Amino acid sequence: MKAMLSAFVAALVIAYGATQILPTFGWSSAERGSAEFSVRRD
Amino acid sequence: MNFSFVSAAVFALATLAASPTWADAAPAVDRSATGGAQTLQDIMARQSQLDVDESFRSENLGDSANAAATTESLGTNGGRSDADVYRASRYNEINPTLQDRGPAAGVLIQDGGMPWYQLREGPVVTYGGSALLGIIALLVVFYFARGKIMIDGGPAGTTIQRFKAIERFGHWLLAGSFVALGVTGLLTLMGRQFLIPVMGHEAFATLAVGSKWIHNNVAWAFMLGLIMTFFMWVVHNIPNKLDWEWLKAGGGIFTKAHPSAKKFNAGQKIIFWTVMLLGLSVSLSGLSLLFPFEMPMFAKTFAIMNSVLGTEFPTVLAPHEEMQYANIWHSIVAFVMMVAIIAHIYIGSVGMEGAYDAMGNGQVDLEWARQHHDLWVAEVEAKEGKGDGS
Repeated sequence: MKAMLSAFVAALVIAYGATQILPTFGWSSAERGSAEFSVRRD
Repeated sequence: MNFSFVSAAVFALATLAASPTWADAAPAVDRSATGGAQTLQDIMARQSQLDVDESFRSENLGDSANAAATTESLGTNGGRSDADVYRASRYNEINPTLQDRGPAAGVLIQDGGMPWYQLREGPVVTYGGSALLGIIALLVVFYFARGKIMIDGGPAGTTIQRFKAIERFGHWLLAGSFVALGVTGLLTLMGRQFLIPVMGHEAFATLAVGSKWIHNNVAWAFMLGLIMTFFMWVVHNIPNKLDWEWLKAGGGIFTKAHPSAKKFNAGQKIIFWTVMLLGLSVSLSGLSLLFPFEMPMFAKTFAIMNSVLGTEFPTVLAPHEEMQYANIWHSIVAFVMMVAIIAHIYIGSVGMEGAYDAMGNGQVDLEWARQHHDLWVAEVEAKEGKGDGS
């Protein structure tokens, strides 16, 4: 039971961590499709 | 492992299974009256779901060699009429100059959107949803027909360690994230059709945004769980002769016999490899969707399929087509996995007495272990005996 609960918590931690780490590589699921992010306006 | 080959094989099987009939070719059309342009017969043939050879327009893109001299008035756009240029845009046969350097920006027209949307909202939802309801119904029938598989003679009362804490952690990381991804994936796929009429647009919008966050970010936990369980259990899941004997006995499910097995029986090995291969495939198509246009993989996979199987899948795909294939493939593989995992959940919980303990606290009843994994128990006891003597 402890292993199961700690795995579920770990899954949430990893998910939250992904939102913090991925933007440092220039990617964010929230911004990915936005015009400001994907289109260069000269 | 050659992912492309595996994906190609699985995709081919899925395609053949899902497409029992191929579209008939449309009859030859005389287009002399329209100067080679489309006729009413072409339109009618498409409406009848016939396979129309589009080369009469996809290859009719004008010829610069016929261009009038630029010194003359009213030049002919480089020998190409507006219709020629429009067709070239449609069939992605142009190289436009753009401000936006995005990978898909050079595609001005891509007409695969409606077929993709119709496939996604139609057969994928219908067949996928039916498969899920079908396996649940089948298991309910099986439960009432066969009943819970009990430990013959009852539990021994003593236990043996089946899985260590790290193994259970890896399993539950994979399982928990898979359930979260499955539920949110179904919400994303089916919400428009089934939830919006019930809960309205605003409530569903909130649900959809939350589902998207979970689906995009919990995916990393799924991939980590997949890697962990692969390396922990692959040695125990290599097929051998014993598996054939186990399969011939039907795993003892109907005969109530107990065919010999080591740590994992043939049924568990099938689940293991199903999860590993489809998990890899769904992860790769998921990454392709997470990073739009940056991980195209279907054109390459189709090229390998064509060379191995002699099929004629397109090997030049627009970036949007890559995404459409990734989306459909992601859904199909996920449905197959969900069907397999529902059966796995059944046999690991309500379907068999004592099975859940293996992943619950890691300790299983000794009699259960002897009946379902006799050779593994013998191995463990031999090791323990060796340990005591040394």
